[in-house]
Amino acid sequence: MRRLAALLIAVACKLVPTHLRAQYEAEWSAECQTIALSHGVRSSLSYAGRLVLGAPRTGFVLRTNNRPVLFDVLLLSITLMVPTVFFMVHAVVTRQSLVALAYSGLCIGLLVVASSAWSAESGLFGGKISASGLIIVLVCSAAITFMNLLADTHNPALDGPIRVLPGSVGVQIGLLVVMLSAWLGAQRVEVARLGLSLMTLGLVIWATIGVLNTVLVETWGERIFHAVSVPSALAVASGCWLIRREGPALIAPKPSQEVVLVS
Amino acid sequence: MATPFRLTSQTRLLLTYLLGDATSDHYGFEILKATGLKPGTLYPTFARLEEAGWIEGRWEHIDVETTNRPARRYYRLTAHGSTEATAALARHAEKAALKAPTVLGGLSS
Repeated sequence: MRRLAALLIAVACKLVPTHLRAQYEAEWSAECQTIALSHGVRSSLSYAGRLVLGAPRTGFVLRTNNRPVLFDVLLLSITLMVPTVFFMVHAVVTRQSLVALAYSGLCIGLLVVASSAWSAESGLFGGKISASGLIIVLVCSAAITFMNLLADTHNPALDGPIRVLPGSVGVQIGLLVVMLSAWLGAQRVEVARLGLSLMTLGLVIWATIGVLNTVLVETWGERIFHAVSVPSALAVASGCWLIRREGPALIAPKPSQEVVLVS
Repeated sequence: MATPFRLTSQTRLLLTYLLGDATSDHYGFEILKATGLKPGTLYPTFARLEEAGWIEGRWEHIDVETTNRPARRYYRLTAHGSTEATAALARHAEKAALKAPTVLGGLSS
């Protein structure tokens, strides 16, 4: 039973930020052992269980404390997941296996970027995990664009009466610049902000063409695809712009700007 | 003066409890039991209050071998925190009192 409580605490601690992990592990273990002595092992186990249940919230609040833009990074990735999954299902239904594979890759890339943002303690877009996620997103989105241009694939959101190509190319160039910024030193923040500006511009172009296409298309089936992509593009554009604005503090926080919650 | 964090109902509950015995040390499990707060709310709130300097945490000084248990982490309101918390709770109560007649008036009219 004690081992189980220790295991539960270890699981709970995995979810809190690294710099607070040791403190919480010591605090919660001591609390658990004291409860076991005074109230019995069951109470101690119940406390450990409650800690595990509350740990995702504890971790989330502690990570995003004073860093509200982190909410936006996570929200941005989740927002992008919605049309990506929608288009992936469409590719599966229409038996476009390579396109479906590219969309699956895009989903994985977005999840990797979101998870690296979640654990980002030295700034966004700086770590290897973040760079890997961005590479996957870039490769998969470029593959989708090229397949749509060169191969006989069909995606109503990308085709439409006016092609969204200028928008998608803008986003991809922006992504490339953001990705490359990870390898830069002093100019990292400025380059990442430039990439985010390009992404915002690309997404606004995408959304504008999407709105026009929504009006111009003739069938409701095609209209749904634009209806899904336009709000997502606008939401992600605003997220990119927000991160760009908060850039220095978020992308490469100075040691004095880092949140030290417990002395 | 505004508080350096959002004064949520949970934060108010915690502060009220701590102010109830401001000179004593309190530990997590005790507060959870007394206030009914959840661990996912309590520990981030501790962190916020500690960051703002309203409370301070310290490890219990015990002889681990004699007591046969590890040292607990205790929390206590600082002098600054005690003053600020009292003022913040009073301001909140005032605001709530001001709002109440308006709502009632709105309902009765």
